Amino acid sequence: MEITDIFPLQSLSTEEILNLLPLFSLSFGAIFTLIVGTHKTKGHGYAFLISFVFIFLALFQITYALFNSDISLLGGTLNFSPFTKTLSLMVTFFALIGTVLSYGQDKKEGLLPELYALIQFAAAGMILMVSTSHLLFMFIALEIMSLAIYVLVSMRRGSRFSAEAGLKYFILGGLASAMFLYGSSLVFGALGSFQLTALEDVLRSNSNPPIIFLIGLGLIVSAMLFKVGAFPFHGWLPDVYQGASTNVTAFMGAAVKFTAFLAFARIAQSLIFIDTVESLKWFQWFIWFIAAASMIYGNFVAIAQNELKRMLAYSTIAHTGYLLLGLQSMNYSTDAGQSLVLYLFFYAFANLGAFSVISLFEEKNQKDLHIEQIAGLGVKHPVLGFFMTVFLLSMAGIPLTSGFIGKYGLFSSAVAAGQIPLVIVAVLTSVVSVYYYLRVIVYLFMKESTSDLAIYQRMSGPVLAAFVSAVATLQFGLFPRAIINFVKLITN
Amino acid sequence: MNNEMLIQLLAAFLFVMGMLIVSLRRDTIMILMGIELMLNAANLSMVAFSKASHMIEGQVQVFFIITIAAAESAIGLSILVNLYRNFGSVKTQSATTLKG
Repeated sequence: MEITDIFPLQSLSTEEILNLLPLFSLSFGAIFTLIVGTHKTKGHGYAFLISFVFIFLALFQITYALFNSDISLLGGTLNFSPFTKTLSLMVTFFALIGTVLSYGQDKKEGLLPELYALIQFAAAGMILMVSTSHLLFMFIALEIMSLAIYVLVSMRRGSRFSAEAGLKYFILGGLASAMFLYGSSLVFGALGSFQLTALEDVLRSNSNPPIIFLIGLGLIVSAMLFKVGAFPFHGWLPDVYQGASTNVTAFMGAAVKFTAFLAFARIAQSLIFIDTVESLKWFQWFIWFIAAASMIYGNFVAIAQNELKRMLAYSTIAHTGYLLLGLQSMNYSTDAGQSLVLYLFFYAFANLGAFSVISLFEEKNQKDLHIEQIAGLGVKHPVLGFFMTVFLLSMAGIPLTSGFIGKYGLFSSAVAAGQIPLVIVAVLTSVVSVYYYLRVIVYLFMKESTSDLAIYQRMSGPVLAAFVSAVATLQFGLFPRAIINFVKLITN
Repeated sequence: MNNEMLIQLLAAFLFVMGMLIVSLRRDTIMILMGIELMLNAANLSMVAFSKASHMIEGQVQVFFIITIAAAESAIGLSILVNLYRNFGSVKTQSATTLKG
């Protein structure tokens, strides 16, 4: 094979550059942010401003090229279709909210201005990750994203929790990355390609893949389940959510989960849910079991938590379980993919909003907000209390919020796909989940405040982020037709 | 048993060793080395596979992975320095403030 076959030297066409522009904006924006962040006194302000402008620019560029025809670069490695571009749009929007949310929080927690640059690097990695269908490219995108997040998690340098959380996340994340890499190497050795589309074709024609493929697939699936935080692989999640500064937790919980889950869905669709291969049935059962276990474990452990961030961390494990249910039904029902994307999108807003309200009441280097500390807080700060109520109801899936639309779509497509036992588990456990979400609301509005009531920290960024998330949650909950039709349009 | 099989066995052995180091050792520097070992085992197996199947794709990817491994160890070491400043030790059992 000639070297020119691998790297055909050709210049990019205008159309291709148009699709790559958001990536350029984010990465160059990150470098500019790093430079202006070194300013002695106003580093934080300048860094925020520059990163805001560049993320906004990226948003604009993605929207501009949204409905252009499909483009694939590097021989099908990077695919830009309206679907992947919409996912990039969502991810970039989460990065924008994450940036706004960090403003104010950065000085309070003593975070460095590099925070804003790292958010942009992570967003660039996420865009690559949702656009690719090449296993190794996915690994590289995963690492671009994760390396930035590792630093973000341990960025509260004076805090012991943060150092510990960063270490735990790094070690387990490094382990998962290495497993993903070795797994994709084994898959390559067994079936002779890294491209998911090519691998799918091979699997469809060969109903008896070699054992090496199954081992490799097992490693890849474990690594991805770790990244999305499903039940037996969840050990890092509560600690990292608690130890990281709350703005980072919000960004992580929304954007990393979104990206990792979509990448996992992409892999599962091509490598696991192929009915002609008998040995893949085991993997389907494995995911079935993990979905049920995550729902039960996450919801029941969350009941016992008295600290808000930790409670939301366990509830996120339960939400991973619901999403895995959606993944299970993707093969049998055409709507399941759409409801999966919608669920992730809606959940991300609730997550961003809830953590931004929490960050408004945390003192410097505080580990977590205890539930006693928020007793009576909703009466004192009615607007923020109302926002928090909206986010929690959305996570619980109560009507009039977007969480209901997401959950309804997910469960109904799962019923259509014949996943009745799992749907029963999901419905029962989400009834359980209503208890601990409502408990917070009861504390907010109906309890007498104690002496250690949390003090409101005056910050404009988180307030704005909470406002935007609340508006989005209510808007998509009350008038969901537009977004559902939009997602239907781009998936067809 | 041919050479390709032997190289794959070696890669698998190195990978398992790295995994055991990460899960059993309590010293953070050793854990970092274990992660590096796992990544390099994957590199070795990828090179061997692409040599066996006459596809250069895997070998090219190894360069990217080496770069990423370097970035990862840089970040790992800086997290380690952060840990040392906060806890005065780089052993994992010293950092146990988060529980529940």
